[in-house]
Amino acid sequence: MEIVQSIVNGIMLGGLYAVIGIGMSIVFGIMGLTNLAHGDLVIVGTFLCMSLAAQFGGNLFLSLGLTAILMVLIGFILQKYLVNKVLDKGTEPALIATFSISICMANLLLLLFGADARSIQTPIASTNIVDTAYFSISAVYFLDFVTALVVIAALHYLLGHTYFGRAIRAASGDAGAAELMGVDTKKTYSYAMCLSMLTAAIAGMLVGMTFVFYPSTGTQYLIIAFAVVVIGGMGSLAGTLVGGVVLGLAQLLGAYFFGVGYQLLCGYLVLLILLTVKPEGLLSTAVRK
Amino acid sequence: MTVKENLLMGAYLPNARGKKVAAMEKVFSLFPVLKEKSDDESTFLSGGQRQMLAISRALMGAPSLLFCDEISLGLAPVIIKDIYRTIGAISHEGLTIVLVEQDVKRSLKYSDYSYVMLKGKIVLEGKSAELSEDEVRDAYFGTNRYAHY
Repeated sequence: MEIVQSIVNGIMLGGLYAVIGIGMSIVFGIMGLTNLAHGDLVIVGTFLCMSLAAQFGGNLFLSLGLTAILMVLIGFILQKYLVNKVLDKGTEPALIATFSISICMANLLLLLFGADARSIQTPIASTNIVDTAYFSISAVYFLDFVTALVVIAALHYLLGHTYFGRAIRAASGDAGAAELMGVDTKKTYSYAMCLSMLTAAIAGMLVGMTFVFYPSTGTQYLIIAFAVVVIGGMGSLAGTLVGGVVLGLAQLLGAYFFGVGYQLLCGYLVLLILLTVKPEGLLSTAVRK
Repeated sequence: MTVKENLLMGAYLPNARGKKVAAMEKVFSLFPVLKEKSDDESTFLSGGQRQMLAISRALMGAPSLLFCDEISLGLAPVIIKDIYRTIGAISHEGLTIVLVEQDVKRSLKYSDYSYVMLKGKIVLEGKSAELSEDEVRDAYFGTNRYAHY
């Protein structure tokens, strides 16, 4: 019954992929910007969380809190002093700017931490939360999935039911009309980036607990974020979760049927197939032209 | 965004936020159709309904002055009549409205005081009730009497 195990793991892992992708989805949905630095920023979060945990005797809650604050700060500064300025010239220059942020971050991490593989140690690392004859769920994978549900529910509430969220959506829908209503759109973009960075901090910690990581793994998570957002539909919160689960299942079922070496390939094959069949994403609200 | 969310955005500024519930009831009584469609996406509204939503959204901000530019542009005559009736009602309740309009007859009917502008200058002004349609039309089209402007 190993296939049941693969399906369960695929779904759980999909949660982690959704948290990785959601920050990218927010930034794309709100400023129409593809943030090529998102994967590296997630890994920056992972390294921050790891270093802080080492400082505070392995207290992950404290280090996640501090990581989140630092990441939001980094996001705000990057958005205010770099991205907002280049966004005036169009989305292409901003795209290049995020690419340069990506390279800078990866190399900064390499400089500070060296190229060794690392992981975040947790007391729950080798425990199973569910253990039956057919399958088991590891505590870390379970945490990945539950966190995804919490993050998506929280974002859904924030964007749909608060003035802060409505201002963000108004700025993305019609910047001119939003400004007439008194919304400072540039400031709103900065807040959106902060929100994206907050999810990157959470994703960073989960990645560190679930997998080993290097300074150069950012690109791998950028591709995952891309796949999740494209499969689910740009800017759709529920779509991100669906996208994550589809990608997770594709990878693990691919590994089950064809061997572990084909895991990544299968994930991207499913992405390519979906791009051909349903290019607007599974849950996108966009009208197909 | 839905119609309701659009209205809530109108009350975005802090001084309007506290009065948003009363303000929303008020605009729903002015434009009942918006209440029916309050959970619909605003992009699905007709041209006239959009105009109503735009006016309502402006009213949600508890304004002391309402500027309306070419309020009847591109709308069906029935809708224009409807919107003007509401604009009249709003102004009777004491809100000052500045209306820019090329429909001479209608604007004279619904306004208290009128200005006619030609090439950026005011060439004629007076109480709407005392201005004749012909007078306004001459000023508007800049006939001989206004040649020096």
